[in-house]
Amino acid sequence: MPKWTKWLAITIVVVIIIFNIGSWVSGTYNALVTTNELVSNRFADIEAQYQRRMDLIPNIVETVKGSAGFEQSTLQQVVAARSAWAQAKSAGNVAGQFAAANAFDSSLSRLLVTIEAYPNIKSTQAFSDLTTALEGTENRIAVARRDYNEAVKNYNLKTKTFPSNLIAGMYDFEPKTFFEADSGAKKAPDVKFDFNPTTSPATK
Amino acid sequence: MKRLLIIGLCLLTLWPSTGLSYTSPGKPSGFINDFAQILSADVKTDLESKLAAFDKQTNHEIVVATIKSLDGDDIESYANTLFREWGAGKKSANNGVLFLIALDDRKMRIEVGYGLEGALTDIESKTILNEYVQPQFKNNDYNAGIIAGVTHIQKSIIGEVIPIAKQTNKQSKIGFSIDLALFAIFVIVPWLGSVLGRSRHWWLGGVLGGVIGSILWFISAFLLLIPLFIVVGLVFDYLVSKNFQQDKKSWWAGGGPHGWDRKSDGGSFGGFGGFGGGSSGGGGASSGW
Repeated sequence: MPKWTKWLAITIVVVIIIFNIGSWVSGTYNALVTTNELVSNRFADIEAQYQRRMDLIPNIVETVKGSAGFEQSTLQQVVAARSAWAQAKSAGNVAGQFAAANAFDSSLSRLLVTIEAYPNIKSTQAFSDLTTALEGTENRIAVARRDYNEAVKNYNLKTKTFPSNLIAGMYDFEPKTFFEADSGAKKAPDVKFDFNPTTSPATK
Repeated sequence: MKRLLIIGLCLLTLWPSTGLSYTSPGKPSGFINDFAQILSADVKTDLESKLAAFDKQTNHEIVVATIKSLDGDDIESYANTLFREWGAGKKSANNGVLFLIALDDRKMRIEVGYGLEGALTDIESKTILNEYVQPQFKNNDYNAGIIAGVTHIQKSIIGEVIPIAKQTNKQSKIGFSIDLALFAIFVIVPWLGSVLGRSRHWWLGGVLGGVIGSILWFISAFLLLIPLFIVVGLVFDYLVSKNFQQDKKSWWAGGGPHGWDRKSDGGSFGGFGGFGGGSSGGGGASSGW
């Protein structure tokens, strides 16, 4: 074969290699940006669902308010967790938001178990609708949480595995934290009934 | 390498356990998917045609699935995973509803797609389950219970009008890509073969393979395509160059008409084509009986 074809072949191969490396770098960078953006979106979804859940608190207060002798401490814990969430949110503290969210969930479920002991509250239509609404938000949060963790997993894999970690290191893509459920969140909450036995049956 | 493995394992264990116990019941065969076999044949065909007509009329996809057991998963996450796997509702509108019944667990759920959460609220879903479905299920009348559930779901969402982007016909899309593949195989390949076969040496095929591989990689982000196509190109050029020397009339000539016959095989698809690809964020309600 003539000499120039050999050089042409080498040139073409070199151009292809350079082109490939260049598009690999830009492709990896773009993938990191995209997955990072997805994590932010998923986090916003969680925030929206928690907002929805916390917006139901006034309804709960309204529901239990009328009942005489209602044990207030669980209600206060829920309200405290809600303000802790709002504080962490305004401070932009993601880990604090997650901790407050878990505290909120467990105090809320404790509150609901407490209410179970009050037949006069439990039997109302308002309370049963409220329970359904709370279950709905709880499930939406579970879904949003799963989606968020999946987005974080995809993103973290890109920042940690070779060779995309090289690009992640160059442009400061830090791994993100998972939103892990409280270890006791799925367990039945532990409630002590320390109120006056004449206002409610202690059999529950 | 070891470190990467450890990181991978850590990530796996961090993964919430709820997703792991899910096992797919299989592909949907239509709007009614009676895996637990609790519906009579008449009711099945009746509901199937009703829901197909409802889909035509309103574009909303109501899907019924009955399964034997949740295998330890909770019904909420099972329903959500199944909903997304099947993609009930149109993709642009997420207007699907999944009515899931787990027989042995005695649990049921109405899972509502994002787009219908306003029309079929959690409280309405709960009411449908508790007031209309549960009494029938308690009498072991699954036919009546499922009919009642579907009817009330329809009632809730029939008024909801969702603008749907013009759906491209799935079938014709697949047919188009088959045409394209056939075009590549029977027109471009012989043409390339005749070009590459004209020369004795076969490096040009490798270069061409590299270029094609790069283009495809750029489209599909699958890096392995490049070496693959280089090798394919080299082998291809080697073969046609060798062939060219032996026989002026190449082996692929006259293969065309036979190939085109296969189009009708590849283009025909029977049965249910699947749902529109909608998603759900966990809306709806669960109950038991």
